Amino acid sequence: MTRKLPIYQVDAFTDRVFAGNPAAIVVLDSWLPDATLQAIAAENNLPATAFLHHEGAHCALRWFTPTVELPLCGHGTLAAAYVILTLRDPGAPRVVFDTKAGKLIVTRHGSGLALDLPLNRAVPCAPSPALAAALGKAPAALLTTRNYLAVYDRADDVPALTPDFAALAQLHCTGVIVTAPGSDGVHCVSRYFAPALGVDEDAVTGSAHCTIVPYWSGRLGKSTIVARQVSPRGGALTGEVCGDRVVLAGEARLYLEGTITL
Amino acid sequence: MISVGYVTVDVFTRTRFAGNPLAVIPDARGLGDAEMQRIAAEFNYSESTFVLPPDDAANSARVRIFTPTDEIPFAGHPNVGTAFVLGRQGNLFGRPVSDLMQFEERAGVVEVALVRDAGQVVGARIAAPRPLEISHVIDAETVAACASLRIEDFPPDGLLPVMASVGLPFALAEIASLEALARARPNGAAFALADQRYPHADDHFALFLFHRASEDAGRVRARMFAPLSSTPEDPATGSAAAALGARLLSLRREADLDAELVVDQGIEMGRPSTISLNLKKIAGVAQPVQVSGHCIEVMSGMLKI
Repeated sequence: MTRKLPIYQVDAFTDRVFAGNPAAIVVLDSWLPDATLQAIAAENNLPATAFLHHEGAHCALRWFTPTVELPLCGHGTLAAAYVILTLRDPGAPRVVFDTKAGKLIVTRHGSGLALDLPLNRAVPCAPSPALAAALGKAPAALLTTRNYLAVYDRADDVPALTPDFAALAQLHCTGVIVTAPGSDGVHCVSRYFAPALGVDEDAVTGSAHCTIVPYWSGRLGKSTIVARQVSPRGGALTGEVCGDRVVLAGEARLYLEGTITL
Repeated sequence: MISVGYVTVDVFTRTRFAGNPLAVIPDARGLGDAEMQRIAAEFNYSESTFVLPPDDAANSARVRIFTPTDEIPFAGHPNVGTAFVLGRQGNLFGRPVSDLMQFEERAGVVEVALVRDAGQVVGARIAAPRPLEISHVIDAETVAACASLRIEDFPPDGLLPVMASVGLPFALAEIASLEALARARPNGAAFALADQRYPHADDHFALFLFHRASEDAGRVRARMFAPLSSTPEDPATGSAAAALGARLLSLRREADLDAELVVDQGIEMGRPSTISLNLKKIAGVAQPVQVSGHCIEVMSGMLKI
């Protein structure tokens, strides 16, 4: 029997289409086998495909890359919330998702949306010659958590990096965040490389900002951090530290609306 | 903001989520070159097509083909998939769709025939737009480096690796075993060097590996790598299969021939695909290779740009 499901594609953490980080959102009337979810995500061939299922007042949410299920995906959550709060339930003030990473709450924030994520603080570590070589330029400071956080002095240093991704993939970390101070009202710029996860460079990364925002908040003594991810597609976020959580705010734009036939 | 209709299909398969995905914009009027390129990048499929009214009213449509990075002159699965989509929609710029269509493309006019089963459009057949052109003989070391293989993985009595085109160029290289074919991995740095050594105006260096159980086998197993065009591996490549078919046809001694060749591709990457070729010679003259395949609809809707 032919079954049709609504599908949306949203560019997250941007105010224009063809920028930010794209995610597909598929709305399910009942859960499908995991192999089918994975096949849909592989077909979409996007950084993330999110699957939504309303269960009473709750909304269950799962995220898949073209090859694996993700434990947490910030941009996929923002994109899913955009679909609910602007298209499917435009009167609702917020949406609560049940996910493998626990409850995630997205609220309206100005013209955009705000997403509450667990903070992930990086701590200083010894310089890594292997990391400096792979990045092609030694950072001024190095910190670590799940990811390395390599801090440069000048905003121009970050977009100029041309990393050796094969070498980065050999390092013992999930990925590498590179960051530097921004200018003109922007507090920091960053990029995120995760070749070990099969993503040489991610366009805009919510989870990386759970580390970037507390770092710059502490260093600059500011509660709110205006951040730009300076990947080729580019993205804009605002972050605020709230105890052990980081609230990330950003815009999103609908690129595609359709139906998928199963 | 404008709304633009789109359809996605899996090409060279009867099974959804197998074959080669394609996005089709069945009416691309009003889109500029830069927007087409951005849409192709956003879909992130190996190709997306944009259908426009023909320049010459005798033809059916103008079809432009974009990879995520470039516009290309011709390709196989985009033609088969585009014909299927237009055949299913039944009309084209206000005219009924005919079972025989002519698509204007940068490589020339491509003849397309719909394939039906019990009246329903299930696929399409295309003729390669250009005669076989061999632009380079490729050294085996270059192929080995690109595919992360060893020289011993090439059969000693196999076909010489060449760059061949019937509309889009591919380095065609014969591999000695299915085991070696499964072991092949694209090496991006080696592709960049190969692209410098064997440049072609029509496309970046792309490698089509094939294995034949025997010289007269009616089935071939293949894989295609094009990391320089944002396609590390392609599940089904009609234009490369057609170039291989034309090359094999050129080596046949018969003056008259009408043979079928089936290319199985995409198996190693979990997207099995079946490309059917018709190889024909009449009185010693090779006819354009015909490429046919089935398609299945996956998604449809509107883009908001």
